[in-house]
Amino acid sequence: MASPADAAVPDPPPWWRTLRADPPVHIRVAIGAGLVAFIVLIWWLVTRGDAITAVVSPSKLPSPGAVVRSLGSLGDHLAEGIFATFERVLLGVVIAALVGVGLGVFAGTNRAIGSAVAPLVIFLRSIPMGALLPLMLMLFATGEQQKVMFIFFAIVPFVFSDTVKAVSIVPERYVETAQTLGASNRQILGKVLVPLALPDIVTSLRFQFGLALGYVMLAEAIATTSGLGVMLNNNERLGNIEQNYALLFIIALLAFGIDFVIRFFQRGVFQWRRDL
Amino acid sequence: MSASKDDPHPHLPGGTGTGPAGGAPIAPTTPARDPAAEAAALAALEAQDERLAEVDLPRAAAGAAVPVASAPQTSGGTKMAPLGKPLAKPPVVAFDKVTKTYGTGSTAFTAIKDVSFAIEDYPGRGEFVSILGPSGCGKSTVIRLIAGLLPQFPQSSGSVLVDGKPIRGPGPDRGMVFQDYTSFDHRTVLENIAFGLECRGVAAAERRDRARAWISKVGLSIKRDADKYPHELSGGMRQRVAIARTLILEPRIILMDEPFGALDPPTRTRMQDNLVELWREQSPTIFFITHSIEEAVFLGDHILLFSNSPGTVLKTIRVPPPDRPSIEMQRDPKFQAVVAEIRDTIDQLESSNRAGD
Repeated sequence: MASPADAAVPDPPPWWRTLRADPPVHIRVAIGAGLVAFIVLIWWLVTRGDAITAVVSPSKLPSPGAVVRSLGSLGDHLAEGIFATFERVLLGVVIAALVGVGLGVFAGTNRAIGSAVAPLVIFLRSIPMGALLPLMLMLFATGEQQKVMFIFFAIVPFVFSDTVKAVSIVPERYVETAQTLGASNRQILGKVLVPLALPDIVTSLRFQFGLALGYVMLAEAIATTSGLGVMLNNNERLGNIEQNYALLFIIALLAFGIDFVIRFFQRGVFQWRRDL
Repeated sequence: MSASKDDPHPHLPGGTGTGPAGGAPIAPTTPARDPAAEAAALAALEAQDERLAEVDLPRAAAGAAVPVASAPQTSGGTKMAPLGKPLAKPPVVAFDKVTKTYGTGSTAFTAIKDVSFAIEDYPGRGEFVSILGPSGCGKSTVIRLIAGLLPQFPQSSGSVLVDGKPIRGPGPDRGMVFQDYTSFDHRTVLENIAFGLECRGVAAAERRDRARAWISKVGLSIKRDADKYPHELSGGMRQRVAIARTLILEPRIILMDEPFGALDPPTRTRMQDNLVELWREQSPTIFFITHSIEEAVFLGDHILLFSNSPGTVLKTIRVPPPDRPSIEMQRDPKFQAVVAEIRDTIDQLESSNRAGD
């Protein structure tokens, strides 16, 4: 089919020789899946055999099969643990969102409030999260309150600063335009600043939700009876390493799933933002 | 209307008179006061008014309902009130020795200095004032002062009066269209245009109907564009939305800060024609900042020529109003002569300004 005219059209350079060019999607998926398969293969090879013949001892790294089988023994505990952990995270994030976003919107629009809260926020942002935990134990004993408040204090300064920033970066032109169209300060806040800042605020909450999941594991390590963190610690004491590996995969999968769902929701609601 | 820093008859609050700085349509006037030249200029204006009478008939009819004592026999309202005679109505916008300085001491920066001009009120017609000048000459400062927007507002000294009253802050009677695209990203075209009505508390059904009418008035398609978000629009379409959003509130004064500056030439001329059409329909007073002499000459009744920073009004030039589509008018040798003359004037003023430094 090559006509003489076609010969004059040069071939574009292939993707593997072009800087920053994306390979076709099926190749991208194949590369990703290939690496995972390779890692599992190595894993399977080094854990083959029994405690004596395996390259890596099963007490350090159980075989892939053992990890999968241990999922079955988790049973009802798993659902229970997930529910308990997520209840705490959700409660902590919701309270932090109410306080952080509420205060942030006002501090972003009224800089006097911003100046007033700034030292407190800088203090809270600078404390390593783990350092807060003993104080939380002293203030709230070992109940649910302690874990929820720990999550709250750990993430509220970040939710606050991200909200202040989201409100602040809305270009002044929008505010001026609204003013020349007769909008009052309250209308500008409600019809312009908050709606335009909202996608970034939700993004911040999405990130903080992921971090809160990490913090709650820490909180659940101490004097707690239910939750994923408790299960991890119990397994450690019982030497049940297969279940720990299985739990880690499940936690990662959950974290990714939740992030994915929030993002999907964000894209649907904020159609006008193409960069989410 | 007068605009010159050495105007011996500055406008007093309340407006006591207009300067004789008008001129023949082709020949820009000099600020120097020569009685003979003034008479000639007025005669030229008379002639112009007569020619305009034909074009302006519909407008004159619209304006006839409002008797204007101060502007006698307004066929097109381009006539000046005699010097010294008190006006029944104060000018729409009057600047008197307005200076704006930022900062203090060695870091102080003066954006505009002793700017004085007055734009008379022509009911049923409105005035189209083009503001022309080099970048950074304080053109934006002037219209942001009228809009009442910080930090230009308030002025450091002098007085800015709208309808004889000082400005308190921004308001919907002074609409503004910016050069950068300011459509609210989270609102559709329809919701953007209805924004001002929404703030006024107009019922949802009514504001939707009125916004839809404006979508077609600015040359957009109700069916295709009403529900689009700004990111789906081209630059020209966004500016159409911005214009509709401002004009739907029927402001008395419209301030336009290089609204077509970022548009490609064909879009630009179409937008100019659309603007002229809408201006005739609504007859607000428009202040239009531009870098383009052609645009200033085509759109304007008057051109305020600004000097480099600190900005002052170097000169007020009267030009014939648009009577044809932009493309046609720009082909006219007479139009091109006016543009060339203004270009020469700018060159002259700039070189003499530099020599003066």
